[in-house]
Amino acid sequence: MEALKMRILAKISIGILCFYNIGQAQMGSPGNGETQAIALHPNDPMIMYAGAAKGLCKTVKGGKDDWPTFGLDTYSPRAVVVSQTNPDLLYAGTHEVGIYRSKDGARTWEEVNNGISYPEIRTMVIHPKNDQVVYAGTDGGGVFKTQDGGLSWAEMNHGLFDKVIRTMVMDPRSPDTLYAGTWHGVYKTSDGGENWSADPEGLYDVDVRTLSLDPTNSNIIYAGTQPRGVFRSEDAGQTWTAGARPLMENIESMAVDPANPTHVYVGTRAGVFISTDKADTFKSAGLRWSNMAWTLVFDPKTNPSTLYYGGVGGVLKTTTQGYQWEVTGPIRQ
Amino acid sequence: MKMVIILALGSLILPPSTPIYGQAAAVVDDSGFAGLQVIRCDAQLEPPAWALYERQMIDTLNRAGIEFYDTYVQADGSLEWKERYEGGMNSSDDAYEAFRGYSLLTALGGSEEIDRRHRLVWEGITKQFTRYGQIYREFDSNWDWMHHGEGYISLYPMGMVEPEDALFRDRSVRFAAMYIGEDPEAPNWDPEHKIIRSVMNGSRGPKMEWVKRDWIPTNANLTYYPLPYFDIPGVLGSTAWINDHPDNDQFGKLVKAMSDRMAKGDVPINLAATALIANAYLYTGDDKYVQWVKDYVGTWEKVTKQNGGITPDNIGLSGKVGEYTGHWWGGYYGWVWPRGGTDVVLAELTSAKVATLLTGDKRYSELPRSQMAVMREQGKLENGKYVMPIRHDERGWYHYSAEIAYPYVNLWYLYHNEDDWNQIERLAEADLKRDGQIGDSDLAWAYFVRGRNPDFPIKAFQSDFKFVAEKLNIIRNERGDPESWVDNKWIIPDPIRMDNLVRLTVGGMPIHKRGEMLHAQVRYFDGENKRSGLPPDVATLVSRIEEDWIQIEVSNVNQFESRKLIIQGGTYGEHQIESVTIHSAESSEAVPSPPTRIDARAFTMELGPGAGATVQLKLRRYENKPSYQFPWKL
Repeated sequence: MEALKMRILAKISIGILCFYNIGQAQMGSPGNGETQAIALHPNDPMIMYAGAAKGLCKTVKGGKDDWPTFGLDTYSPRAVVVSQTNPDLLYAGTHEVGIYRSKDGARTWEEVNNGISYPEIRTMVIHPKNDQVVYAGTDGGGVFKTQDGGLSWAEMNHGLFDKVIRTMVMDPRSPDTLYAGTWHGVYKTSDGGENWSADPEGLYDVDVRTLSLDPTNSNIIYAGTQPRGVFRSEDAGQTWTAGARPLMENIESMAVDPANPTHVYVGTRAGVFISTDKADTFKSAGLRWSNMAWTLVFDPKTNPSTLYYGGVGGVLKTTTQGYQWEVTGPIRQ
Repeated sequence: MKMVIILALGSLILPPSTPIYGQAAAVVDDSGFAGLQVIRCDAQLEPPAWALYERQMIDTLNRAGIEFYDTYVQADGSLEWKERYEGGMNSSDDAYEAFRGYSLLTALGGSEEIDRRHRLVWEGITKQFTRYGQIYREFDSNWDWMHHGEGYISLYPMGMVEPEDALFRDRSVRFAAMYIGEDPEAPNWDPEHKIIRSVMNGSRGPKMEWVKRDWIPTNANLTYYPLPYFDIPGVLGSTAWINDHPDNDQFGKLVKAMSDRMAKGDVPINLAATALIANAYLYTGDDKYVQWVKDYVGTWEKVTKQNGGITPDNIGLSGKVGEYTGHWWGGYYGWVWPRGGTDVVLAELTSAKVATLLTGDKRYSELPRSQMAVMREQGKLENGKYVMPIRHDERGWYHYSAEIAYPYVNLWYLYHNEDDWNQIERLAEADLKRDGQIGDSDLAWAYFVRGRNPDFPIKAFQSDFKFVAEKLNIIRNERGDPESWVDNKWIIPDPIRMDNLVRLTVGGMPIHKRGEMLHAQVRYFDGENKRSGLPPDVATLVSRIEEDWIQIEVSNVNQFESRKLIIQGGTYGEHQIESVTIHSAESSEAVPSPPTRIDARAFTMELGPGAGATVQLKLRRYENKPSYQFPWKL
C-alpha cells in the first residue's frame, strides 16, 4: 500500500491528474466498482470481460448474469486484451502489479512481468494475427513490448519523450504501426515500437486521452484531448484538424462505429456524445449524469453494432445511438 | 467490613466447566472499589474452549483492525480514495460504517488503540466528505435515515468508551439539536405535528425538492431495483435511472415524480433518528431527549392505530397520511419499496428499543411486533414453506418472502414476550426439520441462550476466525486503483466482525441495521484500569437469558494474576442487579452460593488467577436511568 500512496503523491506533485470521478456500489455490474476496461470475445457476443475494482469479471451470457470475478480479485485491471486467433488467451494490465496472462479464458492467471520495470499499466494492444506480440503503455514508464506471449518484455521508448501513456491504438492493416496518446501529444511508430516520433507541427503539447482509428480507413485517426476536444487526421497522423465546434468536455474515451464510420462517440465527464460528421460537431448521446466514461467499445458482431460503456455505471450498452441505454446486469427483485 | 462466604459445593449449570483444584469462595466487600460491592472468586476453572477462543478473537480483531487501518487510512485520517467525489446526496455513511466495529470492540474489551484510531479516522472522514460536499457542520447534509443509520452506528459506541469526551459529547448534543428543533439551520423537526419534515434530512435541514443531481451516482445502482412508480408516462423500466438523453429524459421524469410524491413529509425509516437522540441523552441525562423520543414514536403509534393497525409509510406536512401519495403506502423505503415492510419493521425496532431504554416502558415493542403480525397474517404455505407478503400497493399484498427471524429475536431478547419466543421456536424448528440444523445465526443464538444449542459459541467463533482470515487476505493483497473504487469499498475488507462477540460476551444482538444502538444484558468494565470492557485475560459468556435473570460464565484464563471484573446490568446500567448467585466449578457436587444481594446497577467480581464460575444475576429490567457514564462515577 505504501507504493500506492507514493504513487498518488507523485501524481499530485507533478500535477498531471485531476480526480473528478464519482463512484457507487453497483449491485448488478461487474466487480462492485467502476468499470475501467471492456474486452470482447472475437467470435462469441455472449462472452465479455470487464476490468473492475474487484478484479477481472467475465460474463458468458451477454451481461445477463452476475459478472463473476475471474481472478485478480484485489487488483484493478485497467487494460484487457483478448487474442483474436485464440480467444482463451488474455492479457490484463493492472493498476499497480503489472501484467497477468490467462491461457484458459480467465480461469487461471499467471504473472508475466519479466522486463516490466514500471508496473502501472494504463493501456494495452495486441497484434491481430500474432497473439504473442503485445504492447503495454504505462502511466510513467513508457511502452513495453513482448514478442513471446509475455515471457519477456522490452522497453520500447526510443524517441518517446513523454512516458505517460494514456492510450495506444494499432493499425490492424499494418500492425507495426502504432499511435500512442500521451500527456503531451501523439507519437507514432512504424517499426513495431523501435522508434517513436512526434511531429512538432502535428498534435503536440496537448493531453491526448484517447485515440481511435476509422475501422475502414487507417489513414483516419481521431484524438480525444483535454481540454481541446476531438482532432481528426486523414493522413495517418501527419496533420490534425479540430472540429468545427470542438467538444469542450473532459474526454476520456472514444469509439468509431464500425458499421457507420462517420459516427464517432466520445465518453466524457459529462456523459457520452455522438458526432455523425467525423467529429466536426457533437450532440449528447445520453448518460449526461455519468461523471466518468472510462471506456467505449463497439461490438461489430452485433446488428446494429452495440456500443458498450464502461464507467461509473458499470457496463451499459446502447444500440440506439445513446437514445436508450440498457444495463448489463440482472435486475434485483 | 468483610464477609467471607465459602461456597458450598453443588451441581454445575453448564457441563463444559471442568473443576481442577482450589477452593470456591466468595467475598462480599461493601466498601470495595468505588462503592461497588465486591464478590471474590478463587475457584479454579480450567479455561473452557469458548474462553480461549474469545480471548484469541479479541486479540485477533485488535490486530486486524490496525492492519485494515494502516492499509486504507492516510496519515491525516482520511481514506485512500478519490481527490474529488461528486456524490449528490449520497454520503459518507459507508465510510463511517466501515469502522463501526472499532469503538465497539474497545467498549467490549478490545485495545484502547482501536478506539483511538477510530476517533482519528472519524475526523479524517468528516473533513474528507466535507471537502467532497456531503458533510456540513460535521453531519450529513441531506440523506435518509436508512443511510444515516448505517453511518452513525459507529458514533454511539464512542460514548461507551469515553463518556466524558467533550468533543464527541458536544457533537452528539449538536447532532441531536438538528432533530429536536433546537437548530435553526436544520429545521428537520415539526413540533406541531411531531414529525420529521422530510425523508432527506440532516445538517442543512429537510430537503423537500429533489433534482437529478441529488441522485447521482446513486441512480446507476438503482437500475438494479424495481421502479418506485409504474405510472409515469414514458418511464417503463428501471433503466429510466440512467436514461437522460435530451430527447428521452426518463431520469428527469422519474426524479420529478419522486420529488412530488416522496420528498416532503415523514416516513418510518426516520424512526432510526431516535438512536441519535438517545445518544445525546446517554451523555447528558437531559430529559428533553426522552420527551422527544416519546413524542416522535407516539406519532407513529397514533397513525398506525388510525390506519387500522398498519403503519403507514408516509405522512404529509399537514400531518395527513397519504397527503402526496393518496395512500398509506407509496412512501420512501415504505411498503412499495423492494424490501417493503421489512424496512418499516426494522426502523420501528430501533426506535422501540430506544424508547423502552429511555422510558422503561415496554409497550413500545408493540409497534414492530404488530407489523410483523400484519404481514404474517397474510402469509401462506408455498412449497411447504411459510411465506409472507412484505409489500403492498393498489394490487394488495404481494412479494411473498420467507420470514426473517431477526425481528422476533430482537423483540424476545429484550422484552421476553412468549409470543415472540413462539415465533422463534416455529422458525427454528422448521429449520431443524428441513435441514437438520438452524441456519439463521440469530435463531441459533436464541436457542443457545435458552440452553438448547450448546455448540453455538465454538461454531460462532470458528466462523468468525474464518471471516477475519478472508478479510485479512483481501487487505494484504490490496493493489487496487482507488480511482475505480466505489463508496462502499472499505466495508468489503473491514475485518472487525463483532456480531458473535456481542452475542456471546454481553448477550446482545449484532448492530448493523437501521442505526441501532447496542442493547445487551450486561456490560463489563476493567476495575484495575478503570476502562470500559473486559479486563485482560477475562472471558465471559452469556449462556442464559430469561425475563428476570441471566447467567454468565466467567473465566480468568490468566494463571498468574488476579483480575477485577465489573459487571453492569444492561449496556447503559438500565437494569438493576438485584442479586448474584455464584456457581463454582469446584466439583460435581457443588451447590451454588446463597444469593448475594446487590441492588445496584453494577458490582465488582474479583477473579483470582485461573478462577472462574457460573454467575446468575437476578435483574429488574429498565429500572434505572441509562447512561454512558462508568458505574463507579454515578
